[in-house]
Amino acid sequence: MPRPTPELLPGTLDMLVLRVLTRGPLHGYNIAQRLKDLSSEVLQVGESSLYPALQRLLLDGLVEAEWGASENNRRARYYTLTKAGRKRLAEERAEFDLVIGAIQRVLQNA
Amino acid sequence: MIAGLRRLRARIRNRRFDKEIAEELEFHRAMKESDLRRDGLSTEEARFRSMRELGNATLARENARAVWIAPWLESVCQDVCYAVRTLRRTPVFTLTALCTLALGIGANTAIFSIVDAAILRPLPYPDADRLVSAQVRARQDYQSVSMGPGSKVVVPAGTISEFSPSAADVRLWQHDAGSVFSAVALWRNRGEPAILDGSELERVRVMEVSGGYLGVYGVTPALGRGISEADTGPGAAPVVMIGYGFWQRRFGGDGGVIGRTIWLDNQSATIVGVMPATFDPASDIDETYRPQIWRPLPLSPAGMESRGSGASVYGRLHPGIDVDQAQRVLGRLSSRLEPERGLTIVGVRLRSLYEMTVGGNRETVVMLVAAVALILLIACVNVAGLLLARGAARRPELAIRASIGASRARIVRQLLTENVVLAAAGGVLGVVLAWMSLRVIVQMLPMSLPSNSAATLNVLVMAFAVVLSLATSVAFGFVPALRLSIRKTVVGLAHVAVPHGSALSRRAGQVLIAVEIALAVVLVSGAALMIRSFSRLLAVDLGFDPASSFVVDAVPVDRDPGAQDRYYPQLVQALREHPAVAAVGAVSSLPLAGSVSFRLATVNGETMPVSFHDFLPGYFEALGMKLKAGRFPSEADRTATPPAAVISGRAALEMFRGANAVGRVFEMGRGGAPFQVVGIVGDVHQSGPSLPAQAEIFIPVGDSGNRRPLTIVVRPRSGAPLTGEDLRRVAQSLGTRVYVERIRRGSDLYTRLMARPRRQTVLLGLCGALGLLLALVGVFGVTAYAVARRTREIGVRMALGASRGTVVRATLRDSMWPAAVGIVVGVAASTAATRVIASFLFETKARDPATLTIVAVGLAVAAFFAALLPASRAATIDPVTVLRTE
Repeated sequence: MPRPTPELLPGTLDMLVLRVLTRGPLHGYNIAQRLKDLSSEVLQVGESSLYPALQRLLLDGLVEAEWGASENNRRARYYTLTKAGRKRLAEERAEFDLVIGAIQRVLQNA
Repeated sequence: MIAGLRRLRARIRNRRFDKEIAEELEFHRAMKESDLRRDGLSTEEARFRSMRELGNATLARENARAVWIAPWLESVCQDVCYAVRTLRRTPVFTLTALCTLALGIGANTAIFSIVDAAILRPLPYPDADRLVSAQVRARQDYQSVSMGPGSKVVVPAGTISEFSPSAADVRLWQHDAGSVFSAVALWRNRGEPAILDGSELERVRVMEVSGGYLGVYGVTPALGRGISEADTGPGAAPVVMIGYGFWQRRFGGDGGVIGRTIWLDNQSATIVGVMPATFDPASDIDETYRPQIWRPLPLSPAGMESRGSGASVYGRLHPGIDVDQAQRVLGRLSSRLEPERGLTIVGVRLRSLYEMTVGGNRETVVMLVAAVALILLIACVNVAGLLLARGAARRPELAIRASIGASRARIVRQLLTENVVLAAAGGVLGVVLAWMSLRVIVQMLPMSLPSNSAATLNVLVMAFAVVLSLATSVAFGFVPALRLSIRKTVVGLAHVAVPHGSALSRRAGQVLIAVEIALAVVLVSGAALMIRSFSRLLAVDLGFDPASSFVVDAVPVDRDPGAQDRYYPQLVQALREHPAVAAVGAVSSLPLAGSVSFRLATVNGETMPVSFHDFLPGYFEALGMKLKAGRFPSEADRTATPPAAVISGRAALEMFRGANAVGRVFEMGRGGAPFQVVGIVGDVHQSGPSLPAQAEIFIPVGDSGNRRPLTIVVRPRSGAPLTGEDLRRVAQSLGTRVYVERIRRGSDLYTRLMARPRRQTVLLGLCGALGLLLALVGVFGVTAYAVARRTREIGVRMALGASRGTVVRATLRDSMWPAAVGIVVGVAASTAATRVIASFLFETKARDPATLTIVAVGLAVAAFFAALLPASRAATIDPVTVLRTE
């Protein structure tokens, strides 16, 4: 039984998805795969979290979606990062680093 | 905001959105399945695993959707769609409810737009609450008599009355009262319409104004400039401003009209400006006097120096100052002026223009608002009853909902949504109804709206309609929604086929009937009182018979008094010779024509004011006045000395104290020319049937020194074909250039005067009829429903031996005694409510017992028949059939 995915800080999933998309457009399954691979199987995102997150990013205009052909010629929806998305990613990353740094300092020095 | 638009787009493309998400999730699952197969699982197992890991697909879809569309919005949309479907399934109910609501909401919307035009925004000028009219308060040290239509009041010396300000007052205020007025101007309606000469003759109404007149209102001319101080100085070139409507009509809206000359009363004047389109000062003195031309009023013409000369002063107060302060400052200034003989200045009175414009109409508006509010109430009660009655059929459906998991709140919300949808649809229909009928309603209004504030369906009115619809839906929907959701679900499901109890219980139905009948009684008694009052008005003997006569208004274009003196006798003579004419004469002011003038007459040294007219012989016969004593004067009397005069019966009483007045002599004014009474005519209601007759004297034209144009009265021979055209031809064939303003029938005068009370009666009558109809429909419906509901019980009774008659009587009794209660309550309420229309009633008390009795009996009979029809259906119930379908 694979270990359940540890709790992410709220909003980090969105940020991670944006990061994953910087290399180019991906469809939903790819994104989930990529996250799993890059995190060495620690982060396993289920459909019930991933797709709402993708919808949120769409709603805020941080990604764009388009239907296209997948690797095995099936119809899939590809998500692309927008300029606003890139900007938001940088902002969130900076904030995330800030928060994580603070947490680590507390844990080390308290 | 952009996110909001995206949400809207997603909502609109609802189904596609749904499909896309479903497809996307399916793709994800398929990919997972192929991955699992690669890892070594069988196809079956791979598929099974992937589906399990996907989890609840529906939930996943909904979660994705929930990002875009707030779940609560989603369920509201669902409710609305469902409500529409449900309403469509019961077309009869829906149609009835819609029509009822549309009538109620539509009537209220239409009346509200009139309230808006007449009360809320009658003065469309900037900061209209700063506009005031000014009058000077002074103590008179002489006695005077004040006469008005139907009244005569002796004013003793020492009384403080109000007078119009003098030219000196206004000049002073303009220069020294800068802190009070930011603008002040004088204006006067010129009494006689002026003749405009040109390609065609026209009679126009002229208003004379001082400089800065438009500044008081805060409007700018549509074209050209306004009348300035310079125009009012001595020796200034004569200029005029023309009204917008007049400009469109006479000059076709030509922009080059500035600088053109017009001939007014044989004098030329240059047009310098055009009034803006919406500027139509609602004249507070005479609502029928709407000027078309404005002329400068010089501030020191003869007659303007003294107070009380008939001009009006309007001013715009500075923003900071309030009315009391302003009155004090102005009073102080004016009392420093040189005192006028006989008058001691006490102060200045300022009245808000808004109050003056709105004041008269307020009562009528209140009456109308009350009437349509009652109609809406009856409509709401009706629809509530319909909903409850229909509710019985819905219990199975609601029971199923509750058993699946809907909370009571959810069900109530569903029902309320249905009511809101119904009310909204009714509201839309009502607004359409109001829009279509607004013009007709305005024409039928028993009051005049300030014409620069038309009653339209503007934003405020629409907002009112929306709020009203919502309030209505709560009013009729709340109780049914609660009652319908109250029943236990188990009972409902088990007895789907035969519902016994119901949402519209016997008690509730009876309350419904009582309330509706009570409301209807109030409405109908109001209408009945108005009808009674109107019929009494119609029955008043006016003292003359205008019906078949013609009334001709013709004015010689040449304003030279000599031309006028020659023309009228000439015209009368020419008409006398016409074969179809039985009698013809002329008079300076007709009865019912609105204007009455007063003069002093002296008899035996005692002076008194009387209503006064010039006449040419033949007038009395032509108008059908009755001769009480003496004789009518003839042509021969024109050369008699002293000149022959006629007085009315009331004048004979007042002047000669009942002694035989024929042959007696009186003087005009104090020590003026003597006249001899040759005949006494019956009293005439000069100002209409509702005001008492006054003392009148008739002096031959020329002897009074009066130079007003006369009105010719012609009575055709019975059966002789005389038309207005014939008269016009004769009038224009006498060699003098003449402007025939209009030719009316005597009956028109009467109709015009009765117009207002007639309209009031018609409107209120319509409201009453509408309310009554709705209430009777309610009674019918409740009774019919009661019979349907108790079909089984009735069948059992009849099987046990009750006769048909007993059954019918029982049903009737159930409906009739709440109706009786309703009538009693309604009559009691009427005695309080009809006070609203008390001021409109003529010789009828607001609590007139005879009328109320008739209304009560009438409504009882109507309600009886409304209940009889469905009740008699109870008699046709076949007990065998009923008992068999168990």
